[in-house]
Amino acid sequence: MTRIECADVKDLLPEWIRQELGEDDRAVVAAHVSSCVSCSEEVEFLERIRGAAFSPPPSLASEIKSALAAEMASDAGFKYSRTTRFVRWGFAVAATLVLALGTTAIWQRTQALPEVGPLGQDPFAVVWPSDDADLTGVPIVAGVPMLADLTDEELALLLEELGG
Amino acid sequence: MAEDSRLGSHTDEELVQSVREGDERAMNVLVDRHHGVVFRTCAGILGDEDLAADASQNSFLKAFRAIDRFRGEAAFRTWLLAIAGNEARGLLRKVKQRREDALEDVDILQAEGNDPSAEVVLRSEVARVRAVLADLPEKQKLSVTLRIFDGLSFREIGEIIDSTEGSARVNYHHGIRRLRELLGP
Ligand SMILES: [Zn+2]
Repeated sequence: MTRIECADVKDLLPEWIRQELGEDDRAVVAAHVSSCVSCSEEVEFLERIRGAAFSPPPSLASEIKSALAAEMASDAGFKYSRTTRFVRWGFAVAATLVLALGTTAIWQRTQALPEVGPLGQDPFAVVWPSDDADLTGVPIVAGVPMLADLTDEELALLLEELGG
Repeated sequence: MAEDSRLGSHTDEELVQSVREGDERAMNVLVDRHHGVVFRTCAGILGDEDLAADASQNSFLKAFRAIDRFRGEAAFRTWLLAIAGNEARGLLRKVKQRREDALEDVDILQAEGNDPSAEVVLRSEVARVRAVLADLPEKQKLSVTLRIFDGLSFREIGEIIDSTEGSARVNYHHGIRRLRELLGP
Protein backbone atom coordinates (compact mmCIF):
# COMPACT_ATOMS: atom_id res chain seq x y z
CA MET A 1 0.00 0.00 0.00
CA THR A 2 1.38 3.39 -0.97
CA ARG A 3 1.89 5.65 2.02
CA ILE A 4 0.00 8.86 1.61
CA GLU A 5 -0.24 12.01 3.71
CA CYS A 6 -3.46 13.67 4.85
CA ALA A 7 -2.61 16.79 2.83
CA ASP A 8 -2.43 14.74 -0.38
CA VAL A 9 -5.67 12.96 0.41
CA LYS A 10 -7.44 16.22 1.21
CA ASP A 11 -6.42 17.59 -2.18
CA LEU A 12 -8.16 14.60 -3.79
CA LEU A 13 -11.31 14.53 -1.68
CA PRO A 14 -13.37 16.70 -4.06
CA GLU A 15 -12.78 14.10 -6.79
CA TRP A 16 -13.45 11.36 -4.26
CA ILE A 17 -16.90 12.66 -3.32
CA ARG A 18 -17.67 13.31 -6.99
CA GLN A 19 -16.58 9.73 -7.77
CA GLU A 20 -14.16 11.00 -10.39
CA LEU A 21 -10.94 9.39 -9.14
CA GLY A 22 -9.05 6.87 -11.22
CA GLU A 23 -8.90 3.31 -9.94
CA ASP A 24 -5.47 3.56 -8.28
CA ASP A 25 -6.14 6.83 -6.46
CA ARG A 26 -9.57 5.55 -5.44
CA ALA A 27 -8.09 2.53 -3.68
CA VAL A 28 -5.45 4.60 -1.90
CA VAL A 29 -7.91 7.27 -0.77
CA ALA A 30 -10.48 4.68 0.34
CA ALA A 31 -7.90 2.91 2.49
CA HIS A 32 -6.72 6.19 4.02
CA VAL A 33 -10.16 7.66 4.69
CA SER A 34 -11.36 4.49 6.39
CA SER A 35 -8.57 4.76 8.97
CA CYS A 36 -8.17 8.56 9.35
CA VAL A 37 -10.63 10.52 11.48
CA SER A 38 -9.54 13.91 10.16
CA CYS A 39 -9.99 12.94 6.50
CA SER A 40 -13.28 11.09 7.04
CA GLU A 41 -14.64 14.16 8.86
CA GLU A 42 -13.53 16.29 5.94
CA VAL A 43 -15.39 13.98 3.55
CA GLU A 44 -18.58 14.50 5.56
CA PHE A 45 -18.06 18.24 5.58
CA LEU A 46 -17.43 18.42 1.83
CA GLU A 47 -20.61 16.40 1.21
CA ARG A 48 -22.44 18.96 3.30
CA ILE A 49 -21.02 21.83 1.23
CA ARG A 50 -21.78 19.99 -1.97
CA GLY A 51 -25.38 19.61 -0.84
CA ALA A 52 -25.67 23.39 -1.04
CA ALA A 53 -24.61 23.55 -4.69
CA PHE A 54 -26.78 25.97 -6.59
CA SER A 55 -27.98 25.71 -10.15
CA PRO A 56 -28.64 28.38 -12.73
CA PRO A 57 -32.25 29.43 -13.30
CA PRO A 58 -33.90 26.72 -15.48
CA SER A 59 -34.51 29.23 -18.28
CA LEU A 60 -30.89 30.39 -18.51
CA ALA A 61 -29.66 27.97 -21.19
CA SER A 62 -32.57 28.74 -23.52
CA GLU A 63 -32.18 32.48 -22.93
CA ILE A 64 -28.52 32.29 -23.88
CA LYS A 65 -29.36 30.23 -26.98
CA SER A 66 -31.98 32.77 -28.02
CA ALA A 67 -29.50 35.61 -27.64
CA LEU A 68 -26.95 33.68 -29.71
CA ALA A 69 -29.56 32.89 -32.38
CA ALA A 70 -30.59 36.55 -32.53
CA GLU A 71 -27.00 37.60 -33.00
CA MET A 72 -26.48 34.91 -35.67
CA ALA A 73 -29.56 36.16 -37.53
CA SER A 74 -28.76 39.86 -37.27
CA ASP A 75 -26.62 41.75 -39.74
CA ALA A 76 -23.92 42.03 -37.14
CA GLY A 77 -24.24 38.31 -36.49
CA PHE A 78 -20.89 37.13 -35.23
CA LYS A 79 -19.09 39.10 -37.87
CA TYR A 80 -17.38 40.40 -34.76
CA SER A 81 -14.48 38.07 -35.32
CA ARG A 82 -14.35 39.31 -38.90
CA THR A 83 -14.47 42.93 -37.80
CA THR A 84 -11.82 42.30 -35.20
CA ARG A 85 -9.57 40.89 -37.85
CA PHE A 86 -10.15 43.95 -40.00
CA VAL A 87 -9.53 46.30 -37.14
CA ARG A 88 -6.29 44.49 -36.33
CA TRP A 89 -5.21 44.69 -39.96
CA GLY A 90 -6.45 48.25 -40.03
CA PHE A 91 -4.13 49.15 -37.23
CA ALA A 92 -1.21 47.51 -38.92
CA VAL A 93 -1.89 49.52 -42.04
CA ALA A 94 -2.69 52.70 -40.16
CA ALA A 95 0.49 52.32 -38.14
CA THR A 96 2.46 52.08 -41.35
CA LEU A 97 0.65 55.07 -42.78
CA VAL A 98 1.14 57.29 -39.77
CA LEU A 99 4.60 56.14 -38.76
CA ALA A 100 6.10 59.26 -40.27
CA LEU A 101 3.56 61.44 -38.46
CA GLY A 102 4.25 60.08 -34.99
CA THR A 103 2.51 57.17 -33.35
CA THR A 104 1.28 58.51 -30.03
CA ALA A 105 -2.31 58.80 -31.17
CA ILE A 106 -2.34 55.26 -32.50
CA TRP A 107 -0.93 53.90 -29.32
CA GLN A 108 -3.57 55.63 -27.23
CA ARG A 109 -6.36 54.43 -29.49
CA THR A 110 -5.23 50.85 -29.37
CA GLN A 111 -5.48 51.03 -25.59
CA ALA A 112 -9.24 51.16 -25.99
CA LEU A 113 -9.31 47.96 -27.99
CA PRO A 114 -9.95 44.63 -26.33
CA GLU A 115 -7.25 44.46 -23.76
CA VAL A 116 -5.67 41.83 -21.63
CA GLY A 117 -7.69 41.64 -18.47
CA PRO A 118 -6.80 40.98 -14.87
CA LEU A 119 -5.49 37.62 -15.96
CA GLY A 120 -2.29 39.38 -16.89
CA GLN A 121 -0.22 36.90 -18.77
CA ASP A 122 -3.15 34.97 -20.20
CA PRO A 123 -3.42 35.96 -23.84
CA PHE A 124 -6.97 34.62 -23.96
CA ALA A 125 -8.27 36.87 -21.26
CA VAL A 126 -10.03 39.26 -23.58
CA VAL A 127 -11.76 42.19 -21.98
CA TRP A 128 -13.91 44.08 -24.41
CA PRO A 129 -14.46 47.74 -23.81
CA SER A 130 -17.95 47.95 -22.33
CA ASP A 131 -20.74 49.50 -24.38
CA ASP A 132 -20.67 52.60 -22.25
CA ALA A 133 -16.90 52.74 -21.86
CA ASP A 134 -15.78 56.32 -21.68
CA LEU A 135 -13.76 56.88 -24.80
CA THR A 136 -13.87 60.67 -24.66
CA GLY A 137 -10.47 62.14 -25.06
CA VAL A 138 -9.22 59.01 -26.78
CA PRO A 139 -7.85 60.04 -30.12
CA ILE A 140 -9.31 58.11 -33.03
CA VAL A 141 -6.98 57.32 -35.87
CA ALA A 142 -8.42 58.55 -39.11
CA GLY A 143 -8.58 55.79 -41.65
CA VAL A 144 -9.27 52.85 -39.41
CA PRO A 145 -13.07 52.89 -39.73
CA MET A 146 -12.59 53.15 -43.48
CA LEU A 147 -10.18 50.22 -43.44
CA ALA A 148 -12.62 48.17 -41.41
CA ASP A 149 -15.14 48.52 -44.23
CA LEU A 150 -12.80 47.17 -46.91
CA THR A 151 -13.27 43.69 -48.26
CA ASP A 152 -10.53 41.12 -47.81
CA GLU A 153 -9.43 41.63 -51.40
CA GLU A 154 -9.36 45.42 -51.15
CA LEU A 155 -7.38 45.30 -47.94
CA ALA A 156 -4.94 42.76 -49.35
CA LEU A 157 -4.44 45.03 -52.35
CA LEU A 158 -3.83 48.04 -50.14
CA LEU A 159 -1.35 46.12 -47.98
CA GLU A 160 0.41 44.95 -51.09
CA GLU A 161 0.69 48.54 -52.34
CA LEU A 162 1.98 49.72 -49.00
CA GLY A 163 4.42 46.86 -48.63
CA GLY A 164 5.75 47.51 -52.12
CA MET B 1 -31.82 20.89 -21.79
CA ALA B 2 -30.46 17.67 -23.26
CA GLU B 3 -27.51 18.10 -25.53
CA ASP B 4 -28.01 17.50 -29.23
CA SER B 5 -27.75 13.71 -29.29
CA ARG B 6 -25.41 13.55 -32.25
CA LEU B 7 -23.14 16.40 -31.16
CA GLY B 8 -23.34 15.49 -27.48
CA SER B 9 -20.49 13.02 -27.75
CA HIS B 10 -18.14 15.51 -29.40
CA THR B 11 -15.32 17.08 -27.43
CA ASP B 12 -15.38 20.79 -26.73
CA GLU B 13 -12.55 21.30 -29.17
CA GLU B 14 -14.48 19.56 -31.97
CA LEU B 15 -17.52 21.66 -31.20
CA VAL B 16 -15.45 24.84 -31.23
CA GLN B 17 -14.27 23.94 -34.72
CA SER B 18 -17.90 23.55 -35.80
CA VAL B 19 -18.76 26.90 -34.23
CA ARG B 20 -16.01 28.50 -36.28
CA GLU B 21 -17.73 27.08 -39.35
CA GLY B 22 -20.97 28.73 -38.26
CA ASP B 23 -22.71 25.72 -36.74
CA GLU B 24 -25.31 27.08 -34.33
CA ARG B 25 -26.15 23.63 -32.91
CA ALA B 26 -22.55 23.23 -31.78
CA MET B 27 -22.87 26.55 -29.92
CA ASN B 28 -26.01 25.27 -28.23
CA VAL B 29 -24.30 22.08 -27.08
CA LEU B 30 -21.49 24.16 -25.56
CA VAL B 31 -24.11 26.29 -23.81
CA ASP B 32 -25.85 23.18 -22.40
CA ARG B 33 -22.54 21.80 -21.26
CA HIS B 34 -21.06 24.87 -19.60
CA HIS B 35 -23.78 27.34 -18.61
CA GLY B 36 -23.91 25.88 -15.09
CA VAL B 37 -20.27 26.44 -14.26
CA VAL B 38 -20.31 29.82 -16.02
CA PHE B 39 -23.30 30.83 -13.90
CA ARG B 40 -21.68 29.63 -10.67
CA THR B 41 -18.49 31.52 -11.50
CA CYS B 42 -20.44 34.73 -12.16
CA ALA B 43 -22.64 34.22 -9.09
CA GLY B 44 -19.54 33.68 -6.95
CA ILE B 45 -18.23 37.06 -8.01
CA LEU B 46 -21.50 39.02 -8.17
CA GLY B 47 -23.44 37.49 -5.29
CA ASP B 48 -26.70 38.02 -7.17
CA GLU B 49 -28.58 35.52 -9.34
CA ASP B 50 -30.09 37.98 -11.81
CA LEU B 51 -26.80 39.74 -12.40
CA ALA B 52 -25.06 36.38 -12.70
CA ALA B 53 -27.55 35.31 -15.37
CA ASP B 54 -26.91 38.51 -17.33
CA ALA B 55 -23.15 38.10 -17.01
CA SER B 56 -23.43 34.45 -18.10
CA GLN B 57 -25.28 35.39 -21.27
CA ASN B 58 -22.77 38.12 -22.10
CA SER B 59 -19.91 35.72 -21.47
CA PHE B 60 -21.17 33.28 -24.10
CA LEU B 61 -21.83 36.09 -26.58
CA LYS B 62 -18.33 37.48 -26.08
CA ALA B 63 -16.70 34.07 -26.19
CA PHE B 64 -18.33 33.17 -29.50
CA ARG B 65 -17.64 36.61 -30.95
CA ALA B 66 -13.98 36.14 -30.12
CA ILE B 67 -13.83 32.45 -31.00
CA ASP B 68 -11.16 33.14 -33.62
CA ARG B 69 -8.84 34.16 -30.78
CA PHE B 70 -9.24 30.85 -29.04
CA ARG B 71 -6.16 28.95 -30.13
CA GLY B 72 -6.58 25.87 -28.00
CA GLU B 73 -3.57 26.39 -25.69
CA ALA B 74 -6.00 26.13 -22.79
CA ALA B 75 -9.18 24.09 -22.59
CA PHE B 76 -12.24 25.83 -24.02
CA ARG B 77 -13.89 25.71 -20.58
CA THR B 78 -10.93 27.50 -18.96
CA TRP B 79 -10.97 30.16 -21.66
CA LEU B 80 -14.73 30.61 -21.34
CA LEU B 81 -14.52 30.88 -17.54
CA ALA B 82 -11.74 33.45 -17.78
CA ILE B 83 -14.03 35.54 -19.98
CA ALA B 84 -16.91 34.96 -17.52
CA GLY B 85 -14.73 36.06 -14.60
CA ASN B 86 -13.81 39.27 -16.39
CA GLU B 87 -17.40 39.89 -17.38
CA ALA B 88 -18.69 39.40 -13.84
CA ARG B 89 -15.98 41.62 -12.32
CA GLY B 90 -16.73 44.32 -14.89
CA LEU B 91 -20.44 44.15 -14.10
CA LEU B 92 -19.72 44.23 -10.36
CA ARG B 93 -17.70 47.42 -10.79
CA LYS B 94 -20.56 49.02 -12.74
CA VAL B 95 -23.22 47.98 -10.25
CA LYS B 96 -21.18 49.21 -7.29
CA GLN B 97 -20.54 52.50 -9.05
CA ARG B 98 -24.22 52.98 -9.79
CA ARG B 99 -25.20 52.15 -6.24
CA GLU B 100 -22.57 54.46 -4.83
CA ASP B 101 -23.83 57.19 -7.10
CA ALA B 102 -27.40 56.58 -5.99
CA LEU B 103 -26.95 55.89 -2.31
CA GLU B 104 -23.63 57.41 -1.35
CA ASP B 105 -21.45 54.73 0.07
CA VAL B 106 -24.10 52.19 1.04
CA ASP B 107 -22.91 48.80 -0.04
CA ILE B 108 -26.14 46.96 -0.76
CA LEU B 109 -24.48 43.66 -1.63
CA GLN B 110 -22.88 43.68 1.80
CA ALA B 111 -25.94 44.99 3.59
CA GLU B 112 -28.20 42.29 2.22
CA GLY B 113 -25.95 39.59 3.66
CA ASN B 114 -26.25 41.10 7.14
CA ASP B 115 -29.96 41.80 7.10
CA PRO B 116 -31.41 40.39 10.37
CA SER B 117 -34.71 39.64 8.60
CA ALA B 118 -32.76 37.20 6.42
CA GLU B 119 -32.37 35.03 9.54
CA VAL B 120 -35.61 33.27 8.67
CA VAL B 121 -34.18 32.13 5.36
CA LEU B 122 -30.95 31.06 7.03
CA ARG B 123 -32.78 28.49 9.11
CA SER B 124 -32.50 25.88 6.43
CA GLU B 125 -29.14 24.14 6.32
CA VAL B 126 -28.62 24.68 2.60
CA ALA B 127 -29.40 28.38 2.83
CA ARG B 128 -27.06 28.67 5.80
CA VAL B 129 -24.17 27.03 3.93
CA ARG B 130 -24.81 29.25 0.91
CA ALA B 131 -24.88 32.40 3.02
CA VAL B 132 -21.60 31.56 4.74
CA LEU B 133 -20.06 30.61 1.40
CA ALA B 134 -21.20 33.91 -0.07
CA ASP B 135 -19.31 35.81 2.60
CA LEU B 136 -15.93 34.20 1.85
CA PRO B 137 -13.33 36.32 0.05
CA GLU B 138 -13.78 35.96 -3.72
CA LYS B 139 -10.76 33.74 -4.42
CA GLN B 140 -11.58 31.36 -1.57
CA LYS B 141 -15.22 31.23 -2.62
CA LEU B 142 -14.44 30.48 -6.26
CA SER B 143 -11.78 27.94 -5.35
CA VAL B 144 -14.24 26.08 -3.11
CA THR B 145 -17.28 26.23 -5.39
CA LEU B 146 -15.43 25.44 -8.63
CA ARG B 147 -13.58 22.58 -6.92
CA ILE B 148 -16.51 21.01 -5.09
CA PHE B 149 -19.51 21.90 -7.23
CA ASP B 150 -17.83 21.63 -10.63
CA GLY B 151 -14.79 19.42 -10.07
CA LEU B 152 -12.26 21.81 -11.62
CA SER B 153 -8.57 21.14 -11.00
CA PHE B 154 -6.46 23.57 -8.96
CA ARG B 155 -4.60 24.39 -12.15
CA GLU B 156 -7.77 25.38 -13.98
CA ILE B 157 -9.05 27.35 -10.99
CA GLY B 158 -5.70 29.16 -10.83
CA GLU B 159 -6.21 30.44 -14.35
CA ILE B 160 -9.70 31.65 -13.54
CA ILE B 161 -8.84 33.46 -10.29
CA ASP B 162 -5.70 34.94 -11.83
CA SER B 163 -3.36 32.97 -9.60
CA THR B 164 -1.09 29.99 -9.68
CA GLU B 165 -2.12 26.40 -9.15
CA GLY B 166 -0.51 26.55 -5.71
CA SER B 167 -2.42 29.67 -4.78
CA ALA B 168 -5.69 28.06 -5.87
CA ARG B 169 -4.88 25.11 -3.58
CA VAL B 170 -4.13 27.43 -0.64
CA ASN B 171 -7.30 29.46 -1.27
CA TYR B 172 -9.34 26.26 -1.40
CA HIS B 173 -7.99 24.91 1.90
CA HIS B 174 -8.31 28.29 3.63
CA GLY B 175 -11.88 28.52 2.36
CA ILE B 176 -12.73 25.04 3.67
CA ARG B 177 -11.16 25.79 7.04
CA ARG B 178 -13.07 29.06 7.31
CA LEU B 179 -16.34 27.35 6.38
CA ARG B 180 -15.79 24.73 9.06
CA GLU B 181 -15.15 27.43 11.64
CA LEU B 182 -18.29 29.29 10.68
CA LEU B 183 -20.60 26.33 10.14
CA GLY B 184 -19.43 24.14 12.98
CA PRO B 185 -18.87 20.40 12.84
ZN1 LIG C 1 -6.00 11.80 6.73
